[in-house]
Amino acid sequence: MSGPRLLLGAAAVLLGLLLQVTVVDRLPLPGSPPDLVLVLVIAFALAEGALSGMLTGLVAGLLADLLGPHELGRLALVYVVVGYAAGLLDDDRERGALLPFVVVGAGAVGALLLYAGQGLLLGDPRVGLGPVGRALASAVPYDVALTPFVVPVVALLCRRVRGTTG
Amino acid sequence: MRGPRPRLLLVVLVLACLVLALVDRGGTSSPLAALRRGADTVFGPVQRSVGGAVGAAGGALGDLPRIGSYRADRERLQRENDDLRRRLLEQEGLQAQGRELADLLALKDAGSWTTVLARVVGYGGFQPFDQTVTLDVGRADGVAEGQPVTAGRGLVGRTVRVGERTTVVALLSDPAFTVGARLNSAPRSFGLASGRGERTLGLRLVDLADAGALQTGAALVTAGSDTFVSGLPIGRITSVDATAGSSVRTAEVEPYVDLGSLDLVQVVTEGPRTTARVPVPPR
Repeated sequence: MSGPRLLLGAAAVLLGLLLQVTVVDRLPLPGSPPDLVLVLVIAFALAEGALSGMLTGLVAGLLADLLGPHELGRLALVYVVVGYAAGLLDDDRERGALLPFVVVGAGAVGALLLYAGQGLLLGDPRVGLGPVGRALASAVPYDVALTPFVVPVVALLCRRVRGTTG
Repeated sequence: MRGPRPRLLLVVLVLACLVLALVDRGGTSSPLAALRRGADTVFGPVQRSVGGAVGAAGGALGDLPRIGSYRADRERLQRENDDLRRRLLEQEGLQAQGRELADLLALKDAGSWTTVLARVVGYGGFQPFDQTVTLDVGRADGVAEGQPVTAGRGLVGRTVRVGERTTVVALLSDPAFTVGARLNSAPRSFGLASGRGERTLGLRLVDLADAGALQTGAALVTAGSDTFVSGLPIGRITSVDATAGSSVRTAEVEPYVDLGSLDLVQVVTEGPRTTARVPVPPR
């Protein structure tokens, strides 16, 4: 991963995170809001591979943890794993147009279960069947709905930067 | 495949994150608290400026789908207003009576509450698990950890993490939130109200002295502690668990404040100070 692309990833994640806490989380949507940062991490992983996905996930997760009320490292772990897994699908051969949607959906479910599993491990009283069910019914579909607006844009930006740096 | 599969790095990062989370479990006493303060100094100003502007715009946007219901709302509010006016008159009489009694007992409040006005600049955490908001005030404004936060009709939550310029507030629906509570109509009742997620609270009434007052529609207020002001309205009882014969009664509580659309709130930094009470000789 080259310097400009790293910079692009960091800037996108920072902007995404700010949008998440100031705009997305307070949209008057029924259920729990979409996770823009997660979709961004997956988009980078799909465009650039497992290593980029993992590093983007790490930065995004640590920053989100710092701004949030839970223990440091929890979202970082989730985003790192999801970024890695999504990055494994980064492939030069032609892939179906539906693939990003499937990956984001699976990534959102995986992220939710990972976070909930950690909560059980750490004894977090906030984690229960109620919130998990609610997120499965609302946040996951919202994340999938965000996909066509985020994944192609990130892919385009990555191609541009790669084009200029060779 | 572009680039190798960095499996080893994945394992290292996952383990590092787990260690971080375990180290950070201590909350405010965590060794990583300094790091959070640093993040607050950097992100605080940005979040404050962006969040403030977005909050106002978002509020207007959120109102759009509800325009149709405004007419019905207006009529309902009119009725409610009339009813409240009538009750206010009744209350005035009772209040005068109460003042006289209080004067007799020399129970005078020496001051009123000190509050700091704050704006919600972000909803935080990994929803729906964490239920917190970020405010644009902090230690510099006199806010400390554990203070009650109120809005319009009642309690919103409690400050849990206070930075120099921003504060994270646990909403009262957060499952980690618990507050001592009593029924407004039964001053001797005592129980604990805890967040249930999903924007409701559960009440466990421990002291059954006035258990008869535990009815649907009854108002719940804070019981008060050294950091928490007493008498702050929390919410309305929506259903009572009918299991009789138990030593603890439980009920569901709906908060007075709409936690989904918070904008301006107040942090109660100091409760009313009461003067030393004059002993009344037996008559």
